[in-house]
Amino acid sequence: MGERPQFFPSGNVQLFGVLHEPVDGTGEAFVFCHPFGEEKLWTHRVLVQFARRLAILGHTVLRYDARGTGDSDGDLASGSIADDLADLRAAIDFVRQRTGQARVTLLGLRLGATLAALGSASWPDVARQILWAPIVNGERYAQELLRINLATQLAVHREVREDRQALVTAMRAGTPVNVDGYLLGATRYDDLQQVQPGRQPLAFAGPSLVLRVERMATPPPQPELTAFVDALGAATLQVVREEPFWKEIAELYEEAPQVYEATMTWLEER
Amino acid sequence: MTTGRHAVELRNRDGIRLVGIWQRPPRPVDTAIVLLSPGVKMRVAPHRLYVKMSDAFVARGYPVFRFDFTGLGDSDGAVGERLLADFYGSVALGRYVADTHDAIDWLKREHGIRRVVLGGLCGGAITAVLAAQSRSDVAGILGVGLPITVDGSNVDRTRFMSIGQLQDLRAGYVRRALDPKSWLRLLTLQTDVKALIRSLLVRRRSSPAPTPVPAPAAAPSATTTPTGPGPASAEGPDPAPAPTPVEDNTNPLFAPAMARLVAMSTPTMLFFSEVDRLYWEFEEKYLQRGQKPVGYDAFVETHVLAGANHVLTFDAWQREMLEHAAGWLTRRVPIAQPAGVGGA
Repeated sequence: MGERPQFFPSGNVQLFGVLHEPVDGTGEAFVFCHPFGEEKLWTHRVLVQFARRLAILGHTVLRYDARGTGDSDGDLASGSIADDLADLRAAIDFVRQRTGQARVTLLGLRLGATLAALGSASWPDVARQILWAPIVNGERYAQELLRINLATQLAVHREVREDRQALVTAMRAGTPVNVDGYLLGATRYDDLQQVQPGRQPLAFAGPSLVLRVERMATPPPQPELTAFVDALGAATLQVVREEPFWKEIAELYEEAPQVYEATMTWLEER
Repeated sequence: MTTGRHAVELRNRDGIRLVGIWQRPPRPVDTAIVLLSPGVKMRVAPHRLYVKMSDAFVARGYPVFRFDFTGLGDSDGAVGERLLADFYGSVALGRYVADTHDAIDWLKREHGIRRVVLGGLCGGAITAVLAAQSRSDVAGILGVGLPITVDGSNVDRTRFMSIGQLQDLRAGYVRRALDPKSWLRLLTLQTDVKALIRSLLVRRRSSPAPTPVPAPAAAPSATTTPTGPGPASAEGPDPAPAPTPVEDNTNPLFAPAMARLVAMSTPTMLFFSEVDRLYWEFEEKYLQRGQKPVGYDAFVETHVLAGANHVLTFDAWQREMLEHAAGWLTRRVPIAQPAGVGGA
């Protein structure tokens, strides 16, 4: 088993990725899609460790940084969901070329899961998809990103100097909104508004696993998630008990055992 | 693609594979900047602060290496702590000093680097201070949001101590053995019994043979003779001042390390954010307690970023830090080409 950190192209941008290669390369090919912003950093090791588990089982996994994130080139502020999908497409092509596999499995977390679902709906070389805690309401998620900016203003200025409307107006005039230091531009903001079940095609021919990650054993129903799962087609929805490890919590999350177990069980059944 | 950037791997002394990014300017030089991971947020740091720092420093001619410590980012190994606070506590007590030394040695061996500037945010900053105190090849410290306290509910402050540090800790206990207050602290369970036992059990150190420290690169305003502990060896235990007695959560390793750095004439640039408890702690638990060694002001510069938060979220704070850091580098750690190397 080996891991190769390297750069590969997505159009005229160089993306950073780590290719996890098994000793016995008879397994399948996976591509992991990371969350947005600081969630990417909080979840990094959970994805690394799961990639290593898959490699031990003989699979090849590519983890990569989308443009403007991690060690990849590119400008986040001017980016869009279309750019993110182009990078995911480039990552799939790269791993297919490296492994000779005709099809891949996509695994995404949070906004990365949503991206995986959007891509899978139109790419026939995606065999199946695994979506961990997907963002199913992009409009609300975009509002959460704005709220992070407001919270930072409150913390440092003791007041909100630019409210939501002012932030959106400034964004449309070309000044991106600072979200924990990451720059959210108008194009990505508008793209997120479109991430809603029913607004974009999500129907996927292959099997899908959707994990709802919750602290509680029996969380209240989430109709939007149900609608999202219905839109996918042949999808399995499971609730797993785990802390929200994509944000700062007391626990240090190197692994997500319940998420791993549910995913491994689903994979073994297929 | 960003010029001269490479994904690289190295092995630390335990054989663990560490992953990093080595970014070089067109013209080879003998001094590199090493950015040390802050907390768990790996080699890119919050909002890619280290990527921005790397680009800025490389543009000024300094190669930059940033890498993931054991158990972080893309590196091998595991962390093991269950709680983030305990992990942060272990970092403050030197968890990643050995990885830092191994990275410096790798840069010298593989890339012809002669000296380094150690830098970092938060956990990276305290790691830089602790790692530099025993190296004569550290030309400067560039710390952002330096923590001088130890977090955590279950932190073993002796776990990452060198034999020399443990012996100094023991010496402190011995000195206070006749003080009734010390016995009262012991009997009321205020003493760190784990540290006491470990320091008493440590084997006696063989006589150290310190290597002379080279003359400082620049000391423009040095008007006093640095005092304190003797010069450090190239790497490893060395004569150390007694650690600060722990009365609260102040890091007992910090003040002695700063004393060593000043004694070694190591230029140190510390950035603090005005809206950050770490700045207040530095003021109250270090400066106001009179811990500054003689010579401190000649080698240690502090710049407070007005209104900024701990991670420098907003662009203006990042720009201010980068511009000031660049000026400090030019003044205190000017770069030179390696011997025998021509132009670009």
